[in-house]
Amino acid sequence: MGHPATTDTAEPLGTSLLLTSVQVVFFLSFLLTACFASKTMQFVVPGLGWPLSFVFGLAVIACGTFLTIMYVVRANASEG
Amino acid sequence: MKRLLKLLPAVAATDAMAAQSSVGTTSMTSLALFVAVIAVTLCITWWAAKKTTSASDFYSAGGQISGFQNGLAITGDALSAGAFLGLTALVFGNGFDGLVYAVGYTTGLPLVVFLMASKLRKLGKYTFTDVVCSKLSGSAVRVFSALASLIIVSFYLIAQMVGAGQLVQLLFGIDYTYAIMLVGVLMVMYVVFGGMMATTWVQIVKAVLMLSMGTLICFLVMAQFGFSFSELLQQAVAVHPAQEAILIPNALAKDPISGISLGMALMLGTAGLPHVLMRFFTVPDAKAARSSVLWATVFMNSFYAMIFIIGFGALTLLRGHPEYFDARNALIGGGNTAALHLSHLLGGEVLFGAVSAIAFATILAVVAGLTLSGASAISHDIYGALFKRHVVSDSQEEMKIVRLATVVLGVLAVILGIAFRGQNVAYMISLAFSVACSSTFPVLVLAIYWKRTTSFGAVFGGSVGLLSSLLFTVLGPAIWVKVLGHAQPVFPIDPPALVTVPLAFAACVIGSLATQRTKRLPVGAVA
Repeated sequence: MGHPATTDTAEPLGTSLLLTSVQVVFFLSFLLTACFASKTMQFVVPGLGWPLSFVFGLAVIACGTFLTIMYVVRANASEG
Repeated sequence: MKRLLKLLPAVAATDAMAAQSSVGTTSMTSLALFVAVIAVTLCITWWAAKKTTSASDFYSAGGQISGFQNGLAITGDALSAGAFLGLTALVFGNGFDGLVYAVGYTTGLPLVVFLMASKLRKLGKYTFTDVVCSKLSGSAVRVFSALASLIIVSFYLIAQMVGAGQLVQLLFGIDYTYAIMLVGVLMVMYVVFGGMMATTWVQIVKAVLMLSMGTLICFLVMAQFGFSFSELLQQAVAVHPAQEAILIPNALAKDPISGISLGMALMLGTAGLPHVLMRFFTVPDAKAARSSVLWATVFMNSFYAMIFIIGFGALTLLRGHPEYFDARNALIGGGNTAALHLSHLLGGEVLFGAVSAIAFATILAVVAGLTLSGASAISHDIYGALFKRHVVSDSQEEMKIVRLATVVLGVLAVILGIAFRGQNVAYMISLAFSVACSSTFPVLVLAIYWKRTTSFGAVFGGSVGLLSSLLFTVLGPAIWVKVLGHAQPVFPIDPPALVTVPLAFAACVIGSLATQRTKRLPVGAVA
């Protein structure tokens, strides 16, 4: 009996799991920092003048967007 | 999550509002745009009705929606009024704590595309239950999936209806009961006559309006601060009583375990919502399914990023205008009207009317998607697959059943919306998210990826997740303390996802390993 996770060349399971892990770890880092070290979020990022909380939050949003674009472009190109 | 989701139920009664505010008074601009929204959406329904001739058209718009269109429709489906008005309100009151929700909501869709989107399209037909049943045999798994869908949709729908009635009453001065009936009639008309095609285009129109309006408000806010975000933040600190504390998350540190559980619910809840998953059956192939998530992610994440500006813009600008506050120094109409007041401040009656009309369009788009999803679970999954096994797809009989189910669901939604008037129903959306990430999500992921999953394991694990999330929510702070009035919650983690999601996965695995002789269906076969 075949299984899509192993037979679908356009979407290798390893890539899916890797990108999922990156997204989860990045969000979890934001969340754990907010839960256990929120004061560190006050640090003002040089050059931007914004607190780390805003930069980190926007980075999580940007990370999800970037990973999604990368994954879809690659998977759709593989499918032809 | 509940603080955000309190938005719609929490909007105050119109008689609490002062004469100076546009909120609670019926402006001609608001009414004209309100009528325009109804007219445009009914025209869409009339056009879609002519194209809806088969069950495939009804459930999935014939699979002819493009990836870009579906991306907009997913955006319209997933961004409720709470995402706009509620998040702005949270930021207005609490600063960065509100943005934690905005960040959390952006993490769900990427997981959907990495793990599910193309598989859903390849294995499913009309509902996510089809996907589960393409891998697992037996009626029990179909009944469980359909019932889980109905429970999630029902909780979500009741909360939306109560919120809709209060918001329409607040914005347009229409009596609560009539407002609920109006929303109910419109949503039933969209779905009964136009099916998925009408629902899709109502959602697309709403998404375009919401994104355009968000961009405009951001531009107008930034113009007030010389297009410097740093300047905006500095002035925010200067006017807010909590000063620099508004720039960092504070609430999560007070109850870190619930904070992590909230993050899990925000991330995984989206991947288990039937009305969102159903959208992947409207595109022609897996490639378009992936493209739709790409576009939806771009649109939704952009909108949530806009909340950084809109929320802090409201926090800063409104505090300089006492005409938007009552004698108790609270926002007129409640904190949840912050975005509406901000639009009035920045663009007068015209922008206020436009934002009000878009909030109404948002309600219509979300309830239409929920109704279609619930009716499909009844007609396709329960009736079509169980009681009428011989029914072929595209049959007129199934069309009659789904239309009847839509009317019944619509009437029930109106009755329950009226019955729950004045109740704090925020916990119902919390329940919907908890049930989704603890029941449909684990079952779907394991059915797709773990070939040893059995029907018994899926039903057992999904049921454990569903029942435990219901039980722990009832025993938690949201209901046990705030609704039932007890001093301490029996189960302190709110939402309970941190416990119920692993519990559901574990029960699925244990149940499957214990019943390995149960046969899985060949790949691609749709039960």
